[in-house]
Order: sequence, then C-alpha cells, then structure tokens
Amino acid sequence: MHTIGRLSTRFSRRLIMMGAASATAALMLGSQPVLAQGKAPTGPIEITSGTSPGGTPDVLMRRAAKILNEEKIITNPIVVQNRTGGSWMVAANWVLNKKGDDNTVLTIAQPILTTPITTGQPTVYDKLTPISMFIQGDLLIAVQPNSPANNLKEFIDLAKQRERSVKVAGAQAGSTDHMVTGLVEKAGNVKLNYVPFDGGGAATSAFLGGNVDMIVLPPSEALPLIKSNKAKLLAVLSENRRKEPEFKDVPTAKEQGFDIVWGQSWGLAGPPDMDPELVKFWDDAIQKLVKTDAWQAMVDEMFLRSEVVPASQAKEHMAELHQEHLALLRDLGLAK
Amino acid sequence: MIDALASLGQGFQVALAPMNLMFIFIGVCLGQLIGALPGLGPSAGMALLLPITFGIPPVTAIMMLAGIMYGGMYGGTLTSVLVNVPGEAASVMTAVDGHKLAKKGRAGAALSVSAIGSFLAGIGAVTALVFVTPPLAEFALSFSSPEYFLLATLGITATASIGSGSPLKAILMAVFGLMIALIGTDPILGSSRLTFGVTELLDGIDFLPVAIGIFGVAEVLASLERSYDSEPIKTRLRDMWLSAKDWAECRVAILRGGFLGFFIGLMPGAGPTVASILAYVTEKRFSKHPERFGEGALDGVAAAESANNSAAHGALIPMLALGIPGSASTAVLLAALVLQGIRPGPTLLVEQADLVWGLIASMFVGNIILLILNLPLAPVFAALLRIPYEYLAPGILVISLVGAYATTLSLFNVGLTLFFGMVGYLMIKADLPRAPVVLAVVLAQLMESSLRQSLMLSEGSLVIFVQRPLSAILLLLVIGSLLLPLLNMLTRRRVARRNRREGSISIATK
Amino acid sequence: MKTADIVSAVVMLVLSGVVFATTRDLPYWADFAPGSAFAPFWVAATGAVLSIALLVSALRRPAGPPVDWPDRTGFQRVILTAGGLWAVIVAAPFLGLVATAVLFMLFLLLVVERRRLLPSLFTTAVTTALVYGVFVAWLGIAFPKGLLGV
Repeated sequence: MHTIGRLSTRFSRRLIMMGAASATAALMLGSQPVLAQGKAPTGPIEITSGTSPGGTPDVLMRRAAKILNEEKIITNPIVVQNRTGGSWMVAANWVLNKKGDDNTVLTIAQPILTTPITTGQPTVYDKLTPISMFIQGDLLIAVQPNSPANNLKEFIDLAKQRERSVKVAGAQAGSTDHMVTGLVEKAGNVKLNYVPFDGGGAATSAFLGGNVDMIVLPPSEALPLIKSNKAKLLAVLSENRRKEPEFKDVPTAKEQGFDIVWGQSWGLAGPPDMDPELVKFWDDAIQKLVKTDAWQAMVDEMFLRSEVVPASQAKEHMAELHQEHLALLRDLGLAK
Repeated sequence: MIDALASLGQGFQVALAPMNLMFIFIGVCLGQLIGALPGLGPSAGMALLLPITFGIPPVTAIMMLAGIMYGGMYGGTLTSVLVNVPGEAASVMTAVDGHKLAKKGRAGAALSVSAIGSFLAGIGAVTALVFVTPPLAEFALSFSSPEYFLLATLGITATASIGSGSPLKAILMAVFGLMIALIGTDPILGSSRLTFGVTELLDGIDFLPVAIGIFGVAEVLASLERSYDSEPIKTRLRDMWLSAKDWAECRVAILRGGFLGFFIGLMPGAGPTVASILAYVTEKRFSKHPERFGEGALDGVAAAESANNSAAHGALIPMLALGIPGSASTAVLLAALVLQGIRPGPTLLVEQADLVWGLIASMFVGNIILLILNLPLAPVFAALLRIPYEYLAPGILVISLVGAYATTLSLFNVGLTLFFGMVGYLMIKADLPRAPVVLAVVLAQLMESSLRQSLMLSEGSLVIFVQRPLSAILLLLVIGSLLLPLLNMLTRRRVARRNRREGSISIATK
Repeated sequence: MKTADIVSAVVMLVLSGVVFATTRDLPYWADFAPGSAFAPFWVAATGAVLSIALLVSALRRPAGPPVDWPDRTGFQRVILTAGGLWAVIVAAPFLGLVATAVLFMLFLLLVVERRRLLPSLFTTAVTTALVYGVFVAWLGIAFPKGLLGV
C-alpha cells in the first residue's frame, strides 16, 4: 500500500480501475477449458489485484508479469486485472470463487489479512492456497527537519512530555501507518495523536505543510524528502540497516532499544485447493523470476527487498503474519 | 523569468519532435473519447493505458498520459450536454445546465463555449505552471484540513440555491446525498456505517454510479414515457455558434471559473470535480440572472468547464514540485513516472528538467490541438441530436451500463447505477431537484473527514478555524454565504409587506 | 404534487430513522474529534427536521396539480425498460455482457418502442461495435462472458 499506493489510496474510491490486456487475451480469458492435468496452466493467466492501477502491489505485479513473459519463464500471456472494492475483499472473493480454475491467482497484500479482522468477516488467507511471498518493503520513521528529536529515544521523550501532543499523519484507520504508530506507542509506552488522512498523498502533504510531527514512509518516498531537506529520518523498522548510501546511516529501531520491526510484504496465492502441481509451477516460476537481472534491478530501484518464502513455508508464514496483525489491531482497538 | 522562458523553449523542442507530437495528438484524442464515454473518466483511461507506455521513452509517455488527462476534461462535456450523462465526474455541473441548453437547441453554443473556456483556462494554467510552480506549490501546502472543511461547507451550503424549485426540497435532497456518502467504512475510526454486511459497500458508493443513474438513466426513462414519436431537437444554424451576446455573457465567467478552478486544483485535497462545482455556485452568485442557473445558463456551463480544465492543470503543480497528487489523474501520472523508473518528489524539477519542461510545453500544444478539434466540430456533435431519440435512448442506456461495469469490473456497480436510475426517475416524478444529491455525494466525505482531522490536529480546539489566515478568510465567506440569502429574504419580505400595505391603502382610498 | 411531497417527506423520514438507528452504537465523540456517529446523527437529525417541515407544508397546502404520471402505454414502456435493465444484470453472467446488451437493445427498440426492424438492427450494430471496439478490443476490459464465449 505504500509508495504510489499510499499516494493513490485516497483516490481509490474515485480512481476507478481495471487492468489492461490485449484484446485477444481478454477474449480468450474465461473461455479456457479446465484441464488440470500437466504442470502448467493453458491460456492466458489473470493476476487479480485489489488496488487501483498504480498502487504498489499493482506496479509490482505488472512488473513481475512483464519479466515472467519477457524471460519466457511463463509463456502464457499474463494479465493483471484490478478488481477494486471492499478493501481487497472483492478481489479476494473473486479468486475464492475460482476453485478449480488454473488461470487465476491473487496478489497478496496487507488488506487480505487486515480487512477481515477490522470488519469482523471470516478470514480469507487460510482459504486460499498460498504460493509464495516474495517482495518485502521496509518502513522508516520521519519527523520534521527542525524537530528537536534526533533519534527515536528523544522522540519518545518528546511524546512523554504531554499525552497525545505529538501528531502523526497517516492513511486510513487500520493502515500500515496506523499499525506502525501503534507499535511506537507500545514500545515507548506513550500516547501519540494519530490523524488519519484520505491516503498517503494527503498525509504527506499534511506533513510537508508542517501540520504534523511524524510520518511513516517507505524508502522510495523518503529519499526525495531527505534530499530536499524536508524530513529527518529517525529509524528504519527492519531487522538490519539498509545498505544504500542514502540510508546506511539510519539506525534500526532495535539498535536504539525499541523493539519495533514492521514492514510490508507481497506475494501470490491461488484459489482454494489449488492443484499441488500448479503450486509447484508457480513456485518454480517465482524462484526463477527473483533471480533475473531485470527483477533485481527493479527491486533495487524501488528500495524493496525480495526474499522468497516458498510455497512449502508460505502457509505457516501467512498464519504467523495473521497472528501478528490480529494482535496489533486488537491493541489498537480495531479488531472486531 | 528568463530562465523559465529558456527552459520552456527547450521544452518546446522536445514537445514538437515528430514522435512526441504524434503521441500528444493520440493522447488528447483518446482523452476526448474516454472523457465522453460515461463511467470511464480520464484517470481510469490513463491507468488502463499505462502498460502501453512501457515501451516508449518516459517523456513521450508522460506527455501522452497528460494529454488523456486534460483531453478528458474537453470530452466529458460532450455527453453531459448532449444526453445528460456526465462523461466524467468533473462534468457533472455541465450535465445540469448544458443539457437544458441542448433541449433549447443551443447544444452547439454550450459545446463551443466549453471548448473556448477550457482552452483559455488551460492555457492560463499552463502559463502559471511555467513561471510560478515552486511558490504555488508552497502555497498549496498551506491548505490543510481546516481549509478543506470550510471549502466543502461552502459548496454544501450553496446546494439550497441550486435548481429553481423550493430550497427546502433542495436541502432535503442534499441530505439524501449525504446519507449515500455515509455508506462505507469510516476513514477515521474504521467502523462500517450503513453497509448492512455487504462487502461491496465497504469502500462506499462511488460518485459515478450515482451521477450516471440519477442523471442519465433517469432522464432516458422519463423520456420513454411519451408513446408518440418525439420531435428531434431542432437546431437552427445560427444557434449553433456563439453569438456576440453569449460571448459577452461568458467572458467573465470563463475568467472567474478559470482562476477559481486553478486554485482549487492546486490543493492536494480537492481536484477538478470540486473545482467545477464551486465555480458553478460562485458564478451563480455573481451572475446577473441567477434564476437561469439550473434551467440552462450558458455562463454556468462556461464557468464549470473552464474550472475543471484549469484544475486538471493546476493539480500538476503539487505533483511536479512535491510529488503529491492533487487529483486521481495526477496519481496515475505519478504511478507512470515510477513505472518508468523516475522518482517523483521535491527534486523532480531539478533532476528531470527535460521531462518537466517537455511536459509543460506539450500541454500548450495539446490544448491547441483540442481547441482545433472541438470548436469546428461543436455543431457536428450537436447535430447528433437530430437522430430520433428513440434510437439514441437504447444506446445511451447500454453504454452507461457498460461504462459502469468497466469502472470496477463488477455487476454490483451496474446494479447501483440502475438503482439510482430508478430513484432519479421517481425524483423527476416527485419534482425533487437531482443536482444537490450528486453534489453532496462529492463533497460529503471531504467535509466530514476534514472536520475531524482539523479537530484532531488542534487537539479539540475550534480556534484552528480562525487561527490560520486562509481558513479565517474562508470562514468569513461561509458565514457571508449563509447570511446573504437570509438578508435577501428579509428585505424581500419587507418590500412585499410594504407593497401589500400600499396596495390596501390604495384600495381603501378608492 | 401534494401527494408526491408527502411521500418524499415520509421516505426521507424513514431513511433518517434508518441512518440514526444503524449508527447509534458507534462512538459519537472520540478523543479530540467527532466519532463515527457524529455525522450520521446530524445528517439524520437534519433529514428528520426537513422532512417534517416538508410534510407540514404539504399538508397545509391545498392539493395542487397531481403528479404527472404517464398514460397507460407510457407507463408500460417505462416499466418494461426498467425490467429489461434489471434483466441485463441477471442474464449477463450467463449470456455474457455484450450478448445481453444486444438482446436488451433489440427488445427496447422492437418490443417497447416498436421501431422498424432495419434501423433497429443498424442502431444495435453501431452501438455494439462501439462498445466492443472501445471497451474490449482497445481498453482490454474483461466483460463477463457467456456460454458462447462472447
């Protein structure tokens, strides 16, 4: 949901969307006979996405689709379709109803886990067939460049002076930004004033306008802000520091004595009870994908990480993620 | 200043390269078409065509996509005027007055004035882009939640004066619109409101199914009542063009609409739809014949159409200077930049000067192409109304439904459109004004969220609305707009009473 | 219009009631700012007050001209068209959206409006070509496809 996703979430209601495909691909889609034998799907493949085009998961999947085709890892035409609505649940339901379909997979993003929790609907992640999680994004805590706080400790001390006096801008309730704020509150034993805006773009402009003190940013968005001295970075919320020259001096929260490790991750899942042979087909394809130069270049360019959680561990990994999100959202009083 | 001109000159060299020129042309034509089709707005069209831009150089790609963005603003007018279906969100006010004009045989005039207004406002906005982008971007940042709240309030309070019927009904219908907007997840606290357990309603009801239904589908249903053959709308050739009188009437409207639209477009929280609504209601206040608004006011159309185009251009300022999207379309432009491996943000103006100046120059070129396309063709498009309505109606319905499907790829949206079509039909029968509903749907969320954000920012203190200079000014405007009609009513009543008394005296003396 | 006003007022009153009732349990105020129930409460309250005002003014007024309902045939046409539109939604998943749209257009032109066959076929063909060309071929939107695969 970050990067452009953050920028465009506030518009997602209006930013109407769908994916793009060639005419032939669109024509053939769905008219494919269901032939589960063999290892590969026949005909065009749909990657269902729940964001509007331009959202980070959408950008990632479109790039992945392009590289998979170009490097001939998968020869079937791959089409990303954006089925927006219901905070990803429309996309999730679409794939949940595709049991036995070999040609549809779902992009896994945070809302797949969080929406059922915050709306009190039955969980979705355990009904899908996880394929793999293969993209991770780090998050940074940024404050105003003239802020008296120069590290996380000083920031927490600042917040301790008066409850809810430190303002944080972020996206809608239950978003990544909100969860990170919750983690900071918990780790520092403070109360912050979280102000939800209509998406990342609006939050960033509130921050740049000097209306709030803190904001949560992915590295790709933080970079132009620190370059133009419009923000100061206090911490990266990953296990290890990032290696790029621009970020190597930003300490992790853990180094500073606060156990805050949080990030975003994206991956793919198939419809319920997907044929194990097909899961293997995808698993192999993803393994090959992340080794390509084109993929590595994209990951570097967008300041992401690409560590594959293969199909064999994906199920467990998803369950773990679900528990983490559930616990955090409960703390924030958002779990139903 | 000289620097800017030199850079612009370089930009023109980029924009006028044959390949770029071709893509600008393709972009604006696509924009015109996408804008005209109901349902799909320019942002959707741009997003759909994103993959095509993978293969072409970044500058060319961005020029083409931007062409779709402002081309859509020109195109949206078409369907609004001709068949009362807003082609895209920002043309909603045009659907109100433009179609009334078309029914009077003045479609040509409405289309021409929109084209001229859009062009002048567009060129004006791009010129501002050339010279004052950085300071304007800083200015845009001084708008935040308190200002947005007051701006939205200004729009909502104007609903009572929209339409010719009773203000009571107009406000009641605005309340209906607010109810529609409440449906969905509360963005601040995350609780579901009025969703009744329907997953599709979690993200709320989009404005387009409401607008297409309540205006377009309802209009067609109402017109089908007549079982006799309808007379095609007769247009005399001299009504096709703008007369000198029309132009005199609309000149100032274009200027006002253009300026207002530009400033609202600047603000990252507003966008072209809000801009055109506010320009329309402002124009009504200034107009010499406010009673014509809602019944076919050419200056209303001119103001709304100029505003949406200059807002579309204005939204580029925070996007280019800060990397903040001011509208749905600029959000897609940002996505396109990222896909091309260019990182938007405050450093873009320096690091990608060629791209930025090329884009700015391309918008001069694109607006000229659009004017050349639209002005001579206005009478031709208007002549479409000569097709008997019986043949147009099924086409309008089918294209509206397909457009509604395409926005989210779900039949649920089609159902919503039909539902609001039925509601709109009953509203026509019950003589309830339809514009306030649509207007409230657009403004409601902005109004509610920004009120709550403001109070969260101020830790619960209302002082935030007077402390900030911009919001203090807006507050005065809001109060003024509330008191003015009240004052008018009181004086009118007093005059009426005096007249009555004088009348009775004169009878007594007889 | 008297009856119409009364009906509109009652409908809005009921809607206000629904808005109020379904959001009653949400927080009205949260920390510094209004909560989830604040806006619904005031919207419902305004709606209720205005509907009552409309109701009262309608009741006090002598009956004006009645609602301008169409004649029998006109009414039939509206009902048939509305029915046809809903049928499109029901049939689209089975027949495909494009095929359903073609059937709907022919139904509207030939059955409801009783147009001549040839111009009707022509109109349908032009509209279908436009829809197919723009949405499917060019923008690549995946419409529901029917048993025939279109």
